[in-house]
Amino acid sequence: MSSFPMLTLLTFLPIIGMVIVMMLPKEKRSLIKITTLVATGLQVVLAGFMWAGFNYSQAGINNPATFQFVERIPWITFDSGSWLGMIKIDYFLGVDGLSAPMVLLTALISFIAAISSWNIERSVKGYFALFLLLDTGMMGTFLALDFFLFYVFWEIMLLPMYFLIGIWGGPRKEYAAIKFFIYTLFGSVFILLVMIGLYLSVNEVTGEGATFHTFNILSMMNPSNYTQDGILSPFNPDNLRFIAFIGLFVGFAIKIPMFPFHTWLPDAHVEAPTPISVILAGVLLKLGAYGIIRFNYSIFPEITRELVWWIALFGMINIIYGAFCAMAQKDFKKLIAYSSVSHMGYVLLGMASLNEVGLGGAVLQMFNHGTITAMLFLLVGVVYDRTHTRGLNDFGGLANNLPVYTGFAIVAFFAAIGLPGLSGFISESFVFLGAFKVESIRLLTIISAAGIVLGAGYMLWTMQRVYLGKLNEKWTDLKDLDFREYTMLVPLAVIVFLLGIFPSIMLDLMNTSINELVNQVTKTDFHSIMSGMK
Amino acid sequence: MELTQNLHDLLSLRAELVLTAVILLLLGIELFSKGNKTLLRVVSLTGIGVVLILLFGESSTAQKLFIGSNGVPLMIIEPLGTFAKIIASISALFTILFMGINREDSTMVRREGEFMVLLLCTVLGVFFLSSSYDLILLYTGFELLSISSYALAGYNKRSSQSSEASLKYLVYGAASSAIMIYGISILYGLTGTTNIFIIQAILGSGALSGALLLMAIVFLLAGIAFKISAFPFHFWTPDVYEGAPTHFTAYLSVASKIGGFILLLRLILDLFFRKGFNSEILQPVSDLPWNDILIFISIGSMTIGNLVALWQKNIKRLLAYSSIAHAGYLLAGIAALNSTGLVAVLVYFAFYLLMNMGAFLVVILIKNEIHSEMLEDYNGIGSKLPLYAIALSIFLVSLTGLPPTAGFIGKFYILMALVNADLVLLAFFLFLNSVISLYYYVRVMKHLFISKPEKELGEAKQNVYGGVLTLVLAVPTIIFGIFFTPILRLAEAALKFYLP
Repeated sequence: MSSFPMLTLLTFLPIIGMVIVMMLPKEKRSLIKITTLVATGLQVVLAGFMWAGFNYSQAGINNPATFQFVERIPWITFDSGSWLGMIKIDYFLGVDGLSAPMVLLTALISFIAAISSWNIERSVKGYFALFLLLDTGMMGTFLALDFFLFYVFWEIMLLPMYFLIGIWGGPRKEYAAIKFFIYTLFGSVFILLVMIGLYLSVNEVTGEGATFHTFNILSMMNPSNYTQDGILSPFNPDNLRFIAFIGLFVGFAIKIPMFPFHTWLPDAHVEAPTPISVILAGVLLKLGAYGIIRFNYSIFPEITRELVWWIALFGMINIIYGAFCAMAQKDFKKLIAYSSVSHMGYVLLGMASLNEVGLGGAVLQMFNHGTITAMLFLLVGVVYDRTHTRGLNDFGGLANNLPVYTGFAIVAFFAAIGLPGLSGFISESFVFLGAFKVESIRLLTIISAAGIVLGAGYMLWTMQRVYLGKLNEKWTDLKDLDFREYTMLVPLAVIVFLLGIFPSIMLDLMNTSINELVNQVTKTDFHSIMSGMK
Repeated sequence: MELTQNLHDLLSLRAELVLTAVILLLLGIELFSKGNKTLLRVVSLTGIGVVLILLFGESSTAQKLFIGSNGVPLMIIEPLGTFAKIIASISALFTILFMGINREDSTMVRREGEFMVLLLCTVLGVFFLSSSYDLILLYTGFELLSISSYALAGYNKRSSQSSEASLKYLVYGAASSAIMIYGISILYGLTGTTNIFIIQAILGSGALSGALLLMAIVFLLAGIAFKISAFPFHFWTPDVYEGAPTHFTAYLSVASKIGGFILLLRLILDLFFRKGFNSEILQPVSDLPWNDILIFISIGSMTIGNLVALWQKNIKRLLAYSSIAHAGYLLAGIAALNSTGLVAVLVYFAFYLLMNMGAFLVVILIKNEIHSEMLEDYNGIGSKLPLYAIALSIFLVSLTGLPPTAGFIGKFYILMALVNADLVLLAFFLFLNSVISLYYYVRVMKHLFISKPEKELGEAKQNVYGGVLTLVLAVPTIIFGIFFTPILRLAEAALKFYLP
């Protein structure tokens, strides 16, 4: 562990970029774009260094000693009388095998989205300032180990996202933007209340022997830190832990988005400009699943165990329902939006298995879905830029005059279907292997497997409608990919192949942590403490 | 002996004396220098500055004044009252600064002296509300605040809306004052005294209970609810906020509220509840349904405020309903009836001063340029007046209660107090209200940044003075959202004698 503030830099580099962008005159459009590119590029480099320095044998999850690159300094310390205002909030960042893949994903997707933003014309300065602010919010959310800090980063993402959809979006942008904003803030209600409840129920002993309530997530995972009478304390016979679990779950599930809270997603995706769709699908959706694993699973393990069947059920609904909805779409972007709903269902199903294979598959699926869907949205953006339509039936035969583009499309589509040799296959099969092992959710797993067939159905049908067949007269003079589009698509395609052939690159990174996570969620006993009390 | 003692006590009311002197001086200047603008401003601003210095000087001391033959004081200077006085003085300071830039009515400039005199009279009213421990004296302060406010609301002579506002304010105000004094008279009839400490002792002995006492409390609360524009006495708010000159609206939204809240806190902390804390929870002296009453008013205010605000097309009316909703949030903090709740209310108030004053300031600045306060005319302001638009957005985000702004910290503390008091449902309801409020606050931002203007905005431009004032309010709104310890310390110090 070095004293170099790696994670702080990783989080706040975009903010530095934002300040520079704000100070540049608004006529210097290319300078603004280059600043953004440099900031996100440096973020990728830093994330690479983090990966290089990452110790694969340290688990993290619930043990502050095995988190890496930890930075912990007191942020707010207010120590006075005995009333509750005594408060201690830490600026506490750290990374483990669960957040490391997400950090890499965020850096990568932000960089690619920055390239993809090159053709933004309207109020360039405002766009890139908000873009960078969003980037900081995402990165901070994955790295924060203090609940308060986490919440601040979580909410910081909302406003930039609202404006990025609302100002630079499509025809129904205002509706889509406010819908996104209200849905997510509604979810935050639950998260904030549970955060306060946990804070009031958990004690931490400082070096001097004084006890403090704490926002430290890791302390919340240890039953012995709970006070006797806190409303979320297992010692309290009338505790509200079950309700808190549900509330927190709903708060995060809105972001995934889990059925029936998914309706904001198609609207947001359709109206958002391409780079924002890429970020939305690539990173933001992962935040929901990450939140459930980091918070619900580790802080409320005993309730997680009770409710796995329900998590699997909602996973199944997401898979099947999303796939059917995707099949019915006529808009290219909406189709991919619903395919996201379906693919995030696999994440839920894998999470419900509570074993190493399934959970590992779920986290890998988060990463893979991030790269594959980002690619799909970029591909839609490419044709939309040229034709200004997204109607699936307006195309046909694009393979004839856009051969390279079609090549990339085939990679992405087959990865999404789960063709062996591409990254989607590995994570989906892990999810099914893990889930099938668990008897209680076996039936749900079997039904979910139909999602693979349905997925192949709508994906292949889409390919047929857009790329194959006779070329539509209107599009005879379309140009193939340009250099900028190559730079976005090539890295993603490489990753899709690489992780399809050598999945261990990612699996090794998270293996130790996933084992520890399974340990935490299946072994930590909040119940026996309770009965011991009685 | 008693006379010299009283004279000595009178001289201890330094801030009040200075304020009175400034009021008289301003009257004189107005009369003899034919309203010399610069002189008026210099005197009033320096005056408030001196008052603020005095207030900060005595912000941690307590002193009993005018101790009667029965051994109880008439007034006490103590930190909680001083906190309220500071809030009122700071908002008066900003109001005078705002007045200089408001171009709503050209005749207002010539009558600045009158405005300042009346404004400082309302401040004096808050001062008396803050340190009096006798119901009659409290009522006097209350009326000083009210009557001057009625006149100020109608200050914009040329506008019929302003006169209408003044009249409405007067009628509603008179009615609720009458109800309140009726409540006081019942309390006097029951106890034979108007001194808070003696009444508390009588209540504490358990000699009184029943419907009549409940009636007195409900009537007293009516007067308070009027001042803080809480449900069901909020009806005056939108009309008065819309009609009054905007800089006075800004003042009204903060100073009138602190006046009402300090009275409520005084009654709760010193009259109806046991002195001091044995635990973190406040104990009422007689078993009256305090929780239920406060929760009822709180939920009513935030729900009505937020739901009606959804339909507003005029920014001042929108902020009026938002101010009703905020009265509800603040009351929720008091309804927790624990120490965290009290601190939360004060913290919230300090932040509310920043964000609400700031929002109205930007409304004035934008109105100067586009001569409208309708939301549909705000279209395209974001690109024409970016600083104003960004600042207004910061204030609105803070009013919504999103991090990293000060408003979030205020709301966070109130929620914490509620969860700690096991009022989880009220906490949930409060946050749900924030989600509703998001819709109309964001609608303003939508007009600023997203909607396309129908007509050209002409030569609207930002001026330096307005920009600086905006930053003075906007920057702390963010900074206190990230480092809020100073305000927390201030609030805690203000409650020094009430916290465990």
